[in-house]
Amino acid sequence: MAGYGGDGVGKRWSPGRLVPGLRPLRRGRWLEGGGGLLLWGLLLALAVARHDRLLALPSRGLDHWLAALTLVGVLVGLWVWSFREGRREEGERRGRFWRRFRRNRLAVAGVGLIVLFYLAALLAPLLTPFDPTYQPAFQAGEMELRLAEPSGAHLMGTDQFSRDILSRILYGARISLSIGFLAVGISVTLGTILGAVAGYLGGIVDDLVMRLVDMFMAFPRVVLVIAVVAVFQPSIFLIIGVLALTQWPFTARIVRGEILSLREREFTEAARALGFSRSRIIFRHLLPNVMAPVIVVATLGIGHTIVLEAGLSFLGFGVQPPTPSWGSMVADGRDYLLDAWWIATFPGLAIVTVVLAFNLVGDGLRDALDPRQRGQGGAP
Amino acid sequence: MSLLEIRSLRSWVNTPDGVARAVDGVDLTVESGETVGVVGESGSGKTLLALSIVGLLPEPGGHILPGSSLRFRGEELLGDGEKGMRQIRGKGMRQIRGKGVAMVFQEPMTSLNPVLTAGAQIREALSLHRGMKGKVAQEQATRLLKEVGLPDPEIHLEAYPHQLSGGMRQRVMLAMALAGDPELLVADEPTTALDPTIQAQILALLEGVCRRRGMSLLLISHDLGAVAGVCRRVVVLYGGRVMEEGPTREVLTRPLHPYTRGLLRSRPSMESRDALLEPIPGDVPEATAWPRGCRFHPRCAHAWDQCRKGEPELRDVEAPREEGPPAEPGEGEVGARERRARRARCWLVAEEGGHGRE
Repeated sequence: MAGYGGDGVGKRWSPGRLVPGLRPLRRGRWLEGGGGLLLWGLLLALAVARHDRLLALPSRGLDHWLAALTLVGVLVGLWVWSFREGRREEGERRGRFWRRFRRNRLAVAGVGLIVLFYLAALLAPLLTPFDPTYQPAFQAGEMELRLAEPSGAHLMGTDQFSRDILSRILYGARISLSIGFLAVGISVTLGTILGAVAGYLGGIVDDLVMRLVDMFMAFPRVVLVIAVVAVFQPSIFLIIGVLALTQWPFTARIVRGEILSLREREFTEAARALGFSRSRIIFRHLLPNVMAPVIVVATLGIGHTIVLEAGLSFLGFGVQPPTPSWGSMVADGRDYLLDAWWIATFPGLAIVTVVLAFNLVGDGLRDALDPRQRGQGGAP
Repeated sequence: MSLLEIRSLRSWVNTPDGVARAVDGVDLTVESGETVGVVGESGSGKTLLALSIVGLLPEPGGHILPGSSLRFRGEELLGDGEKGMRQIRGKGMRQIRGKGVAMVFQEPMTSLNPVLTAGAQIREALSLHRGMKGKVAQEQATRLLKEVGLPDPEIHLEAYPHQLSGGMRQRVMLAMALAGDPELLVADEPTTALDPTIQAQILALLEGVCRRRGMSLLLISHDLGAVAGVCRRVVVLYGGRVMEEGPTREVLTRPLHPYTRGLLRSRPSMESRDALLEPIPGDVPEATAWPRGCRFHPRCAHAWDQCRKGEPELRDVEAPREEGPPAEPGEGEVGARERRARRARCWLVAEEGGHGRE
């Protein structure tokens, strides 16, 4: 009799778990295994071989440190997750999900774009020789480098301060992506916990949390964020915090709805009859059941957050110069739109592409995870 | 001291149509190691009785009335709440759930968490009740699955519920219930959702597990056949009240209450294959408005004036018992008497010379 793809809990550390891609390779799935192994191997080799350049962060580096740490953290998280998934990868459910997801070509393209942007951001120092804040016109007297057209040396040209646009976009990608990941990570965690507790306990807890949610949702989000940022000194932490605190109600509302229906299900009653405590039921038994909508909300939320951050930066309330940010780059280029179209165009394209990619993936996930769509074509 | 002692338990539920008096004065005793069946039609209060024992009455609306008593190992489980009596809360009750009393539900399809593997759910219960972790829990979970007769337990531990058949799921449920080593297992129609061949297997399994572990069983079912095969004693429930109780064989061969007789006549039997089945006429009345007098009288062929006027007591009946079960070793006199007690709530029985209880 065939197994269910598990190895039991006995074997905690095996090579198949430590080295990503080894397990599918052993099971004869060459493309998946080889690809995984190659990708992770290349990343690791690059990191070791060029550690000096990778560690050389731009000056005024707090924002950049935070961004780099977040991106590396995501990478480590993916690695750890891949072991977990490896243990259950043959679960029928997951297989069906991937088949449905893969049918949606746009979503797959979205994943490709996100991976591309992510790798470009992670490996930014290797891809560009320039510091994003370096101004050769003023620091080295090369005045001809101001508003330089795209050329072999500067693929996307330079701005009015003679800074390389490509470098700024790459480092800006670090900032944008990390703000997206962090803000959504915080908001989804907060929203999930609050929504689950409110939904399961009901009564006054539910009332309190949901009225708070209503309050947040009744208030125009952008205005709220601008007001807060205008009052305090803008910094990357403040931006992340404000974006997270205005985002959680969306997750909380969805999770609460799911929990409300789950807690009436028989398995919840069975769990209570066996003496499981409330927190155990909520966090161990019910939360795994709401992961599908939460993943969708999180994915769409990242795109949303990146747009919002770009908007804030455009208005000058976002990440402060000289830290590169796509929004402020577009704002900088606005004055030179006729003379130097490349300043605003490339960061604008970057915003559009990344946000579109996240939205496509989010929609694809929703279609693939939604049981009501089962059997129908998943394409939008 | 009986393991479970229920005295005049009244669990009512507020519904939009009024107060449903679903369990309305039930007395029930389960001795240690005893198997007791509770039978009755849908709507007779069986499930609510089971839920009252584990303290899971539907909320909001479910409440237990003052004067009810529910003792487990002599310890009273009901206390005063803001709306009548209520189950004690918090740690005390959770100690009893799972460790003292475990419950198996009707629908094995929906009683398991769809996103956790069978093994994960059994290990959860083990870590909660026995503090087992990692390898120890894994081995114990394997042993439990073996005990409930699932082949290849190591493999099935990794299965998600949707990969298992109904019978297998019910076995996993049972393994979860057994994880806490309970003294009493409450099984609420554990076989109703299964097909007949599997039903027989699960019933035999329940019987065997109880016998080997010395565990008490409260088997709730509408199927007299199921109860007959597993339980030594049977309690017939109707209208939220006990109508008749006694040793299973006696109740099934010499039913005293017209309702029990009706139940027996409405099921097919192997002996008389030509006989037409006789359903009990009418339906179970709404729990919000039980009839006056005997609750069964509108459907009873033998009803007369007395039945419409007053409700009969649950009376002890002295029945000739030439083949009564022998006393168990170590069983107290009270326990033995309780085990053999034969009671019925009917004016007919009273007329024929039963004597009132208490």
